[in-house]
Amino acid sequence: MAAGMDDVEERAREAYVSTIRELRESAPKVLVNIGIVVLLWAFTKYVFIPLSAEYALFGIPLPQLISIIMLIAVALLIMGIARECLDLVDAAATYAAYEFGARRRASEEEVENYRVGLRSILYVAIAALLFTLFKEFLNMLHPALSAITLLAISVWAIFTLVRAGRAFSRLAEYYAREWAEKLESRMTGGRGNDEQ
Amino acid sequence: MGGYLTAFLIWLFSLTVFIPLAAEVSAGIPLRPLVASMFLTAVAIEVYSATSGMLSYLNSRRAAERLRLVLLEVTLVADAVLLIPLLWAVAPVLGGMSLILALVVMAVLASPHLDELVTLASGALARLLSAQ
Repeated sequence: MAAGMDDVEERAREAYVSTIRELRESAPKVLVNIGIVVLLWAFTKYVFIPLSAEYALFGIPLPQLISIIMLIAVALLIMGIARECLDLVDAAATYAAYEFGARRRASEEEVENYRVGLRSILYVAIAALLFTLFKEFLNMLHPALSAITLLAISVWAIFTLVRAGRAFSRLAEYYAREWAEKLESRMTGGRGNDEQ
Repeated sequence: MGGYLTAFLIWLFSLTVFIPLAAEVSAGIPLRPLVASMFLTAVAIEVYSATSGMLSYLNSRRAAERLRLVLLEVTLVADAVLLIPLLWAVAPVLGGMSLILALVVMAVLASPHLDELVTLASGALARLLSAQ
């Protein structure tokens, strides 16, 4: 038991070190790319689309073309930072999981449940945030596009949240079992004292 | 109980993120009720499994007799809190009808045991006050 606890503490320390390393390596790249994405979004929304509102190229309204170009550029940028972002999220979730795990001396399985739960919630939050930023441009291309994207994200989010919920439920079961065992041992201890 | 945790997570994200997002997207189709009904289905599945687990526990002999009614009422309240806002987002009439139905069921279940409930609540309050 003590060896298991030491193992979890050791892994917590390792997770902390790898999180810091990951943060140092990935965070600047991610921040710079996010800055570029936000700048691109702001310039497109407040400068290029209002400027091109009355123009058309080969019969295609220019705001639509600009939206497509912007979405392709953003998609390329996001693909570039997606892996870094996922690594960062994974590292942060792993660190948080081991931190909680080490604090209450959890087993490896519990730590994995923490990781799955936290990671799933973070993924859903990131997807919702990205959709919030880019729904207007999708809407500009075709109103149905943003609707279909939202429906797809919703279905994916339901399955992801169910996975997170199951992981947290298993954790709640561990807590309940632990609590019940403590209560039982206290009661049997009390009964033993009474019998003496 | 695990079903309630999953249902709560889906309920929270749907009400605070996805249903407001759906209201902002103007696609020519009623996207808000559509998204709400998708989340309602997921929450209803989880709530159903959790409630059936809770009811089987309440019907078993392990549940304390005095707490049975209180737990039943708590289960009903939890189900109502999780389902009615989503039903409301699908169609306000559905939400209103289910709210009235839930209140009636709670009142019908509680009315024959009102004395017991009052005794239980006053006992708990007295214990709380004496502990302070």
